[in-house]
Amino acid sequence: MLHDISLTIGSEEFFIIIGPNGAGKSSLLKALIATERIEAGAISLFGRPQDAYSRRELARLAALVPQGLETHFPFKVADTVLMGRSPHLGLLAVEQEEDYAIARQAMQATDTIHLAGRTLEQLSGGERQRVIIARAICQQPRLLFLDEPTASLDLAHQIRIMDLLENLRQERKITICMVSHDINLAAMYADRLLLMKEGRVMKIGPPDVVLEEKLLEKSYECPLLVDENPATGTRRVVPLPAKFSRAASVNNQKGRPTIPVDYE
Amino acid sequence: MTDLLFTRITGRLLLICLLLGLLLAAALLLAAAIGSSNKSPLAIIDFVRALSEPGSTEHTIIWKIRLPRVLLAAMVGATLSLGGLVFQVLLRNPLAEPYILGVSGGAAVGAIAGMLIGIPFFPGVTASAFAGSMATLGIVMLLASGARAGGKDSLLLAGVMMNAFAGALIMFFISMSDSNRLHHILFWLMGDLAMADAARLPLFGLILPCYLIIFILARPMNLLLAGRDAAASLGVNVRQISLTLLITATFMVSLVVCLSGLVGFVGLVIPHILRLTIGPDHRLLVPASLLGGATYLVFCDLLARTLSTGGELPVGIITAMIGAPLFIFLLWRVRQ
Repeated sequence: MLHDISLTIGSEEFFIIIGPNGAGKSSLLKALIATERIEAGAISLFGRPQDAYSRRELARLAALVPQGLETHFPFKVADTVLMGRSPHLGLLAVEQEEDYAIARQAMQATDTIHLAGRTLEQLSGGERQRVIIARAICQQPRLLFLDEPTASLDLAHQIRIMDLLENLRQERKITICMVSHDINLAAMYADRLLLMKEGRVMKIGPPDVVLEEKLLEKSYECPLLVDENPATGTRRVVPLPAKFSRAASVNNQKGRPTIPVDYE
Repeated sequence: MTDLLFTRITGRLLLICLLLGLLLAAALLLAAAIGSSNKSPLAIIDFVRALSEPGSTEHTIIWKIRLPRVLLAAMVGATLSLGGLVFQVLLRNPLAEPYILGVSGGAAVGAIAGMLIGIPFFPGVTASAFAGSMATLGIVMLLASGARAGGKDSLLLAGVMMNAFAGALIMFFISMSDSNRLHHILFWLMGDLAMADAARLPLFGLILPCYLIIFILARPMNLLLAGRDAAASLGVNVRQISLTLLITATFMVSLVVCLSGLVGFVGLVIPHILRLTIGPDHRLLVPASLLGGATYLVFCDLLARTLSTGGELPVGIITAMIGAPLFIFLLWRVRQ
């Protein structure tokens, strides 16, 4: 699934993995957090080989916000967040005041404290996602992995989640590594992007370098327009209908009809 | 600072154990006092009198017959209830239960095969029962994991089919056996606590460590419900913990099947009621399921001994008459 990948994520970096479906984004994320083992190669965390850590040690360093949320039994929000303390507690140990305080802070930071008494089933998609982020930061990790945290959220909630992550990164000095389908959100928040396709690295670097029209068209196999977002100054990517493809514009001497940009 | 946001575990654990412990003690006392010879609740008075008169017939009946039976009922109920709880976590399905999954049926096939071959009860028959239940569970999980969509239903369907197959095998074995064993095996199959004898109670020395293992793993059980990846990222060694829980639960259930035959639905009824009343935290649910399951089966056995005027009913009939309608209700509600 994954081939020839070599990368280093910097401390406190906001690192976002993008790419078309089946590019291996989630597989890479799972390999990085060791929920799936890689067949060859090596991963190290904070200078130490990943497989030298126990599961519990790993969970104290890195937390995961998985894609989708499984709610089989009605746990309360507060108790769900408190589960983030597990890697810090022995099997039979009981949570202490300190643990409750940490969970409370995690809920305050994610604006979920007013939901504390509800069960997960009673929440909206955006609220659930914030609760799971609260559980993750309750682990007090130095690294936060997220698998498409904004998928299936409306625009306001997408931005809210991304702003929340940016705040957490700055206030808690957390390194963030996430998979995203939304290139425009990624462009606005990421320090660096990793563009993947078919399990390989297409490009890695700052958004201005990775979000290059021809490269993206090759990766996503669809016509695209890349311009500048006038509000943020970051790159903006818009997919175009097939009739705007380069092949079509070669036949049509006028080029891409409505775009005031020069295409050879 | 008191913090009402979170479920405080220690206080609640003590309270729940105290309440359910008292309930169990009362059930044990009542069940030991009441028998086919004395069905009125006033039997308690005779019971106390009999206990103070060593050598009387009542005294012998209580110590040699009723007490071992009542204790067996308690242990069987506790084990099946806890077994149900564990399977519900492992399969992330509140309808999972040793009997419904075919685990009990598989153990019964193994046990009957062992009995017919004529190997000694321990370790022979118990080992073959364990092998039978592990094999059944393996097949059920394999069948259910193959079907991606509608995973919950396919699991139940696989269990029902394995149960039917186990039933057919059992009938085949019975038809091959000679008739004086027949009545005994049939009665045992329906779930029978009458063959309790003090000599078999030490087998529970093997079951008590299972309770302990599962109690120690109560916190990881909570985390497993969040999903495999989430549990792993929260520090749970998912493979190792799941396998430990699976083998422990299957082992204790197959031992219980050897002792009492097929008693169904205890592992469905008790964890369900407890989850509704005390919440989904397994650090509370594990001890509560033990005490609640024990109380429930002691009570069901009391009904089985006293309801019918012409002899006694197998306790499995009572538990199925209570459990099966509840199962159907739950299935209906899941689909809503």
